[in-house]
Amino acid sequence: MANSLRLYLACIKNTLEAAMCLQNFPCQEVERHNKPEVELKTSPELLLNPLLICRNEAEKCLIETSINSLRISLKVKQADELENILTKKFLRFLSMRAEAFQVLRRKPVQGYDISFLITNYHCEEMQKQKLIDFIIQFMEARYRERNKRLEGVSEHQRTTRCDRVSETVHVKQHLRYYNVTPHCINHSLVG
Amino acid sequence: MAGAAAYAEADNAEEIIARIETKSQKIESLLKQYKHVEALKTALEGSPLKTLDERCKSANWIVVRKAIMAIKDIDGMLNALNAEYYDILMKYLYRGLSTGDEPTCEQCLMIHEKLTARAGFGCILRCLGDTTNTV
Amino acid sequence: MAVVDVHRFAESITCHAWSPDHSMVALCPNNTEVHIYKSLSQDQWERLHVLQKHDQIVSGIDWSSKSNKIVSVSHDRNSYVWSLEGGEWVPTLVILRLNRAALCVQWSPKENKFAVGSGAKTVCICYYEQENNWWVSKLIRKRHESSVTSVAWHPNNILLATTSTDGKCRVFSTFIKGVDTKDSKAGSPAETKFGEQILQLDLSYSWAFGVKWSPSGNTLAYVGHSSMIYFVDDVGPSPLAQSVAFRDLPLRDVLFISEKMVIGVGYDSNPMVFAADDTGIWSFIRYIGEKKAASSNSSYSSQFSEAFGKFYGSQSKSATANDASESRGRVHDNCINSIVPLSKAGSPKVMRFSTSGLDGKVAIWDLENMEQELGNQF
Repeated sequence: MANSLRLYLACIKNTLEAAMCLQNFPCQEVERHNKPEVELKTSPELLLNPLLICRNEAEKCLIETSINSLRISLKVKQADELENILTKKFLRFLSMRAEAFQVLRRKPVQGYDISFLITNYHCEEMQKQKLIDFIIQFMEARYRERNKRLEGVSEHQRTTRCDRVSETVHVKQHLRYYNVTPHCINHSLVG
Repeated sequence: MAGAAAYAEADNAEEIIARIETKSQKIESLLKQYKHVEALKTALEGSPLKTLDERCKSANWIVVRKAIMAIKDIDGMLNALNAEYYDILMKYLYRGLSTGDEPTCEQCLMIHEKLTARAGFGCILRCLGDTTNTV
Repeated sequence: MAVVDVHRFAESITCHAWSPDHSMVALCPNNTEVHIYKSLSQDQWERLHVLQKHDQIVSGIDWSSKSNKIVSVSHDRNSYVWSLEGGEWVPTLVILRLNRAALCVQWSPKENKFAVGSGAKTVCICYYEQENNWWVSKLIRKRHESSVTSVAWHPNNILLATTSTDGKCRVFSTFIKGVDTKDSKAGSPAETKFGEQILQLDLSYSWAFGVKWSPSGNTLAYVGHSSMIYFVDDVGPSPLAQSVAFRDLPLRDVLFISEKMVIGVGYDSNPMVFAADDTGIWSFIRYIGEKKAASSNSSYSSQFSEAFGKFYGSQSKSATANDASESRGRVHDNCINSIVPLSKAGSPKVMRFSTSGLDGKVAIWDLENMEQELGNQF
């Protein structure tokens, strides 16, 4: 199990190393524009083959590459309703901080839980290796946190499922893990 | 792009599928003799890369998958496999990884790690970049 | 050691070019300006001029070695020819007649023309009209099915090679009446008319970049994004083409240092040497700098919060701090996007060259004491 996760992440990491060879490339369609081609998709020749890497039916990673940008979309395993809700909350919380994250796509690509958009500008400002490590560690952290939670959730909570209080507690716990003050959480949970 | 050059690609889908069927039988017999690498080479050779007909591509994938799944000793296989097969094998590994079928993905992930160590990121780039010859 | 000088001029550099005597470098620090630096001593550079005229990123700079003029092109679709008048660089706007970004530029060997590749899928050939005191642009509109990523002049001043994101490498005639003189020899390229395609090479399945001619003009080299490099001998009706696949990240630009040896630079950030053997077969020889140690991809266990720190971390600081320890022999630490010869125009061998890249550094390399290591192909 642990080995299969390691191989899954290694495969994504290697694929990203190869795919993340981006460059500044101005738009061919619109004058004086420079947009991520992977989002525009107006010039098919500027796109490479999209690669889908799965661990199983439920856990997938889609890597779409273009000349100046690439998109990584993740589908994560959700074993039950509780986990489903927590995952959604967690990802939504992260998504609301898209500026801070810079590379997080506001809206995930359809069929996926979370998407990252990396452009040539990120590769100029940051080290490519650090960007890749960030994505991989993000995934790792999610898995680790999930395992912890699965151990921690008591039978009682399992049966009551959508108990609002326990849910908040969990989200809190798991956000603390990410060095986020609980103050922000209420914002993300309301609404 | 091993194999693609060896066979002139037939333009007729039926012809390609008939050829794959012959190949499939050959692979069955090679696997029975425990000639796993030979089976894999046979499977990879003459893959219909240029055709847009998905039937041909899936038919060949079924054959290649059989050969991939039979492999137990990955290092041994890679030692025996000539470098010219690396690019095409990488393409099929990604096809395998896209299926979502757990045993297939697991096997492809294992081979992917070792093949990348051997063939480098260049091999992945040839898979990403070649939009003409697909599997 | 092949590196004689490395200097970090900016956060990131898009392109650079040298003055005729190689004492000054013109570079674009990934913005709308062209900066000119003069070398004072080892690793001491003084900024002399800032050329400000473009309003989008400068994508190409070339400095003519005889006439001492700088040509710059930008994503803003414009080009300027800069001349030094009374200590100041004075720009002349060149009407390229482009409706998309200009991507690359090169002076012709005689410096009476320059070529501009563009995102409008065209190439502009510009020449000076004495009577109007004006640079005129003539367009090659045909053939390119995507952006033109690089241009290279044949030593004969007529043939121009281009690469494009449509994956192809093409050779065109740029003969312009009144600018070029007809060669009396039969079959010379001057027989062809402007814009005529001499050759189209279909070797790459992915984007093509970085085309260059060998010093004699007999061989052409360019790269494909799928970690491939292509060599073409006997450019003409029956060219001999070779494709060489390599195991690392793709290249962006190449430079012939002799008829039989090529340096390639790109995403691996370590220049690669390719050479042809006695039978003319090209292959990868080695890295110029020491090959970096295999990246430790086993260190998956570090904490998420650490990743945060690194992610926001001031990359510039860490990059310079790491220089000495982490990357011994590795001069650049991000994609190298251009390589420029530092030799007299038309000399058969290049002993010095410079590279610049996204890490904001310009590195000067000397092959003098590498000759033995590189073998007899040199």
